[in-house]
Amino acid sequence: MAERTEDRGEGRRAVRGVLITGLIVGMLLVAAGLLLALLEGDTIARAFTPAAMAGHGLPSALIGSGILVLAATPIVRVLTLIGVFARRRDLRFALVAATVALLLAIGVVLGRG
Amino acid sequence: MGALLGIGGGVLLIPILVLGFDLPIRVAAATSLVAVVATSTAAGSRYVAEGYTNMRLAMTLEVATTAGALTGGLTAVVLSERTLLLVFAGLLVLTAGLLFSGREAGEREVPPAGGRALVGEVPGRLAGSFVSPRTGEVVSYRAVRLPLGLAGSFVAGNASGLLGVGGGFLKVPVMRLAMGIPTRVAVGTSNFMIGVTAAAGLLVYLQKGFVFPLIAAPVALGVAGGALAGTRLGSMVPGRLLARALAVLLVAIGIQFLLRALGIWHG
Repeated sequence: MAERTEDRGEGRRAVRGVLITGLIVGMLLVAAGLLLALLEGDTIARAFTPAAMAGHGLPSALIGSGILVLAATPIVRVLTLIGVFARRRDLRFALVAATVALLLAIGVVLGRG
Repeated sequence: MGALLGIGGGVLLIPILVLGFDLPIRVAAATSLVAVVATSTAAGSRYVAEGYTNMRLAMTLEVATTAGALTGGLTAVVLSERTLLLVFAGLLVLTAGLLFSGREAGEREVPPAGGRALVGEVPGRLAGSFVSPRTGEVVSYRAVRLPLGLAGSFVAGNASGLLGVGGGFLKVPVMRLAMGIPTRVAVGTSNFMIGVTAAAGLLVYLQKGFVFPLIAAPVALGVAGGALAGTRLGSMVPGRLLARALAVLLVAIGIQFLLRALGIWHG
């Protein structure tokens, strides 16, 4: 039986927790929204924007919320890694993960323009 | 397929959605990004637990990938899309040839230290070890030629920004061929990275109204199920076979790029 390093025991467990939570919550919302749309006979595809979520109807709002949860999960994963590396005093990689988070934020801001 | 080979699947999904379902390219790209994030999240939960994802390596290369994606517009000014597609097509076929002929790099059995073998990442370094699911042996690896890996990741990010694909099809060969990372770890680490890149793109597409919930929902549910199945299958497939399957896929994508460059294919 292979021993698990501290990395795998703590950092990996934290990241895996983020992934599983995001996947389950996101997919449940998406599945519930799709089921509701089918029950209501709503088969017309419409665009979704988070800013106007209330006006989309419950099925699309549920699916859109699920997609938002899914989209947020990898970003929360990067933020979690900053904390994991910092806690382990692995400051070089904490800085690397923080740089990734900064570049992602720049990309999202530039892309919105 | 995406989870099994460490790619998002955008290069396969976008043509299917555009040609098969007559969706506008931006709606197809947005739907594809939902699929990539779902694949990465579903497969990642297993790859991270099994030690196939090197998170330090993923974050290091992700800096170059994100920078490459952000500067994609600059490359577009210098080179025409046709030239870029031709360059990528040539690059893909060349990489496929190297993957097909090359042996599995960077793997060696590690003798247990003090009677017990260590599994996971080495803190402070781009190295680690994992238990081979096929043989039960502990396999260790260490990333080499980091500058080359960063350059390759930058190109992969550039391709993402320019061509609207995830770039996983370039990240896996870069890690395996340039950095000596075992295929299984390259797949797990690429899977981790594509989720981060795709999530940033997806947030932009969401703001701009290109996500259609009733189109994205069945795709997301389908690929998440497929990704979970793909990770289980991946444990049973030898690393060398994974590399060869990726090589075949790269040739197919290279042909697709060539057809687009020649104006024959518009997917």
